[in-house]
This record gives sequence, structure tokens and C-alpha cells, in this order.
Amino acid sequence: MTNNKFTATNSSYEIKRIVWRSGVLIAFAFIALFSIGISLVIGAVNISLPDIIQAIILKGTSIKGQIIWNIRLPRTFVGALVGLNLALSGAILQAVMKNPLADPHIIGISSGAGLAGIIVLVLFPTLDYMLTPVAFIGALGAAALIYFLAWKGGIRPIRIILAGVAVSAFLGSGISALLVLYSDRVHGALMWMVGGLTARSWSHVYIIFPYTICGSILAFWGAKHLNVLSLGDEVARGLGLRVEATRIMMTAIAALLAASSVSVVGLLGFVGLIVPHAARLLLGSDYRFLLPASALLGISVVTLSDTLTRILFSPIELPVGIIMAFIGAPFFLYLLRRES
Amino acid sequence: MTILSADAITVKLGDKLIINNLSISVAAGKILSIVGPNGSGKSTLLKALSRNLKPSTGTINLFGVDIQSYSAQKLACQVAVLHQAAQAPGDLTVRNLVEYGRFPYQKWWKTKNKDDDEIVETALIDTGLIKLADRLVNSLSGGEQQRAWIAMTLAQRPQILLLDEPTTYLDVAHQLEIMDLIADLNKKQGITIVMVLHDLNHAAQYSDTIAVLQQGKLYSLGNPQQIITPVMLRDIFGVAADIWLADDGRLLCLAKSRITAMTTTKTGGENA
Repeated sequence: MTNNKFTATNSSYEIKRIVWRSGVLIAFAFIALFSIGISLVIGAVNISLPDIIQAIILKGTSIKGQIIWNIRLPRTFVGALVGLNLALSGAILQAVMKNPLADPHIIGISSGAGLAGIIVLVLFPTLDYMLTPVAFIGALGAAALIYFLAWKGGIRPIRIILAGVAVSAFLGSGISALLVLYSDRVHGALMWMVGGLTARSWSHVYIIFPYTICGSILAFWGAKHLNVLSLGDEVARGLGLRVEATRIMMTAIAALLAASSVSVVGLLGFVGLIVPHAARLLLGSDYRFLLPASALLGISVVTLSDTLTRILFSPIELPVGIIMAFIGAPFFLYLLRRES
Repeated sequence: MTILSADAITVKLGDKLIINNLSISVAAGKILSIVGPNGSGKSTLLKALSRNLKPSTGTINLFGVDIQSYSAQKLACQVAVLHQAAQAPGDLTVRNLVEYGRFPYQKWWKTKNKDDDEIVETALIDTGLIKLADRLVNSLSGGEQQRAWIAMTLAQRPQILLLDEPTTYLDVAHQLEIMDLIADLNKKQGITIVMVLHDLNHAAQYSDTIAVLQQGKLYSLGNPQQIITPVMLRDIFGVAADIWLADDGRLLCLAKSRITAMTTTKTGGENA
């Protein structure tokens, strides 16, 4: 064995795969930018791209500028950030729960965040700055409850889903009860229950943005660990991964991403289910590529869906959550059938 | 020299006592096979030795130090484990899989370096997989898949390799291929081998030492000639067997009939 044998370690196949994956990522980045552009241009009033750029530079002094700066720009940004957060959250949960059907909404993590958030909003309205941290605690609590209910000498995918559905229904009933009892205190409760982007302002952007940054950095840092985890718990342990610690840490990151989304748009479902799967179809299971791809695709899916809600039944706007559920529920059934 | 030892360990799964006050030591550079009937605690013992299960009493020492005191990464640099029926994600190539063997050596902010590449390449050569390096693991035959997993453990550069029934699900030719590979790694690279085996002929042919387990206790321990005896086969497995030495010196055994009185003594499932 001579050392020059070791020079060509990256085979042409491996290089091709890296080129393909990088290409898909770049394409996703362009699609995300395009979707954001579409979302800014199209609405109750159509505004041309030059007008938009002018509005952004002048920070909205004309009428159209006002629309862009105060309404459409924050709404689009909130949509993009929420899409990114939920897609990452879903991708992480699918890895740590070993379950292709995991999604913060389906398994009740969003409901945990939602219930905690609603309690703050209706019972302690003066503490509204605590909304996201409290929602995060609610999300973590729901995740812990799901693990507790589903754990029986290991994690079985189907038990996670069943426990999640139960937890989701249980917490959801609490949310509904509070919304009915305190209907005078919660504006747009229905919108919030299905997840909507109507009237999202810059303050909502500021609420979610720090969590998106922190959550994304932590998620990308964990990508390699998620890859090792995908070999199975025993193999991962054999490779020196602290399996339980990784699982808790990554679930917490997913809960943080989901909770910050719930804080600004309510219970928006299915983004975290559809997006990682679509990304996986094109990129495979390597989380170092899958996570950024999911993030970019999440931006596109939510901003485009939201644009659709504005034009479909114009002048009436549907909550974006209705569009997501309309696409997502059949997709969920398709995955369920494919698994069994 | 003892490299790995269990000192009076008791292991429970839930309330069920699986390993009962068992002591065993593994000599460096040797091959130790653990045999016994279903439910005797073989796999559980291996899991305890690999720190996948924590004994409720007793200690396990690696290089004379309590195995619980090792960090996860440091342990993975010394001990590699091949589990039964491991499953790779569908789009993983053999090379990708083997590269995971370097995970315990990598800091999280670093990707693989040139040393890692060389070690992965060597592991692929040693297991005869270099031509299949770019194939998807799941597209390989059972024997090739098993070799790929062994290559991954080799990339860990372990002192000890623990294997749980490495030949299950393989046909006879592939069984021998895997056993030969394991013996080769022991001889050429000096890796200490501890494995759970079902096939007593494999155990006899490839082991320096055989440990026989019965209901969570060590029944006997010694070299193959001492251990594979009609008495052991009757006591442990409840079968009458012919045992003879082949012309090339191999010990052969063939069970010929069940001794019915013995079969009632043992129930319970493997890997419970």
C-alpha cells in the first residue's frame, strides 16, 4: 500500500453529488428571493418592482410607498421567517423522533406554545413581552409530554403520532375554551387558530427575527449530529454521540423555532411536514444540506401561499393556514400510506 | 493482559434480572465468543460491555478504568460496536457510512481531514469494499452490507470490536467470509474481538476463548476444546451431540437429538 493511493479520495461520484446538492441549494435560494418578490408585488393593489425598490429606499413616503413599507414588507418578512422556522422545526423533529410524519403542528408542540401564549394574552395581557418565552416553555412542555407518553423502552414512530394527536387535541381544547371565554380580549381569534399573516407589522418581525437567527445557527450546528442519529440510536451511541442529550437539545431548538412562529402567526400547520419532505426528495437525507434547503423552501412555500390567499377570493383574504392545510392534509395521508 | 473486564455485574431490563452477578475478563488481542441458548443474556452482556446498558451493580473496567468514567467520544475511540440489523438511510454510500467511523475523532466545527480520508480508504481496502465505495449501502448484498458496517467500526480505529451475532441473516458462504474477515482483523491489526455467536462451530473454529452463558450466569469459560463438550451441550442446550476433531484440527459438533427432559428448563426470548 503506497500513500499515493490516497490522493484521489473524493471520487467523481461524490463530487457530482456535491455539485448537484449545491446547485439545488442555489436554485432554492433564487426561488426564495423570487417568492419574496412576488409577495411584495401582488396584492389588493399591484405594485411594480421599481416602485417597491423606491419605497424601500425612501422608507415609504408616497401612498404606494406606505403600502409597501407598512403593510406588505413586514407581512412578507413575517411569512418568510415563519416559513423558515417551521420548516427547520419539522426537519429537526423528523430526525429526532425518527418519524417522517413529525411536524410541530401535528404532534402538538405548536398547541403547547399556543396554549401558553393564549394564557399570557388573555389572563396576563400586561406581560405581552413575555409571549414568546412563555410559548417556548409551553412548546417544551408539550414535547416532554409527548416523549413521556410515547416512550416505552424506545421510540416507535406510530406511538409518537398517536401521543401527539392526543396531546394536540387536549391542549387545543384548552385553547378553544380560553378563546371562547375571553372572546372580548382576543382579536382575530379565528385567524389565529388557523394561522394567518393578515395585519402583521414590523413589531412582529422584531419578535420572531432573533429566534430565527439563533434557531438557525443552532440547527445548522446540529446537522452532523442529526446525521449520526439517523443511523439509529445504538449505532450513534457506538460512534460516541450522546444520544439522549442530542435528542433533548435538538427538540428544544425545534420547540424554540415553532414557538416563535406561533407567537406571531398562530397555529400554522403542515409547513414543517411538507417542506422537509420536498427537500429530501431532491437532496437526500444529509442534514447538512437538508436543513438549509428546508429553510429556503419554507420561505418560498409560506410567502407564495400567502400571496395566493390575497388573490384567490380578492377582496376577501383567506388565512394562509387554510391553504397550507388544503395542500398539507392530503400530503400527510400520502406519507402515511407510503410508510405502512 | 486484561483489556476489558466485568466485575460481578448484575443487569436488569425493567424488573427482569438478565445478567446475574457475572464476572468475565477479556484478554488483549484475543477473540472471545459468547454462546448460550436464547434468553441466556448474551446480547445483554454485550450491551453492558459496550455501555449501552448500565449494570445495576458491579463495574465494567476498560484498561483498568471504570467504563462509566469515559466520555462518549473517548469510549468510541477505544471500543467499536457492530449491532444486529443496523439500518442505513437509503441514500448513503458505503464511503459515507465508513466516514461516520471518524465521527468520534472530529470536533464539531471541523470537517474530515486528510488523515480521516486515509483511514477511511484503508478500512475500505481491508474489508474489500474499495470497488463498491460509491454504491448505496442498501443496494448491496447482506454480506457486503455487513462488511460495510464492519468497515465503519474499523474507521473508529478501536482497540476492541464488539459484535452481536455478525453472521445472522447471511448464507453459509457469506458467514464464513465475515468470520474470516473478523479473524483477519484480529490477527493483522491486533484488534481484540468480543462477539456473540449462535453457531457453535464458528465459535470453536475462530475463538481463543469461549464463554458459555446460562440464565444470566457464566456456566463455563475456556478454550474451545475445553468448552465444546457433550456435557455442555446437554446441560445448556438440551441436545445430544457428536463432537470430533477433523483432520485439519478443527473441532466440529453436530447436534443429533433433543433431550426432552432438559428443554422444559428454559424459556424466554432473546433480546427481550
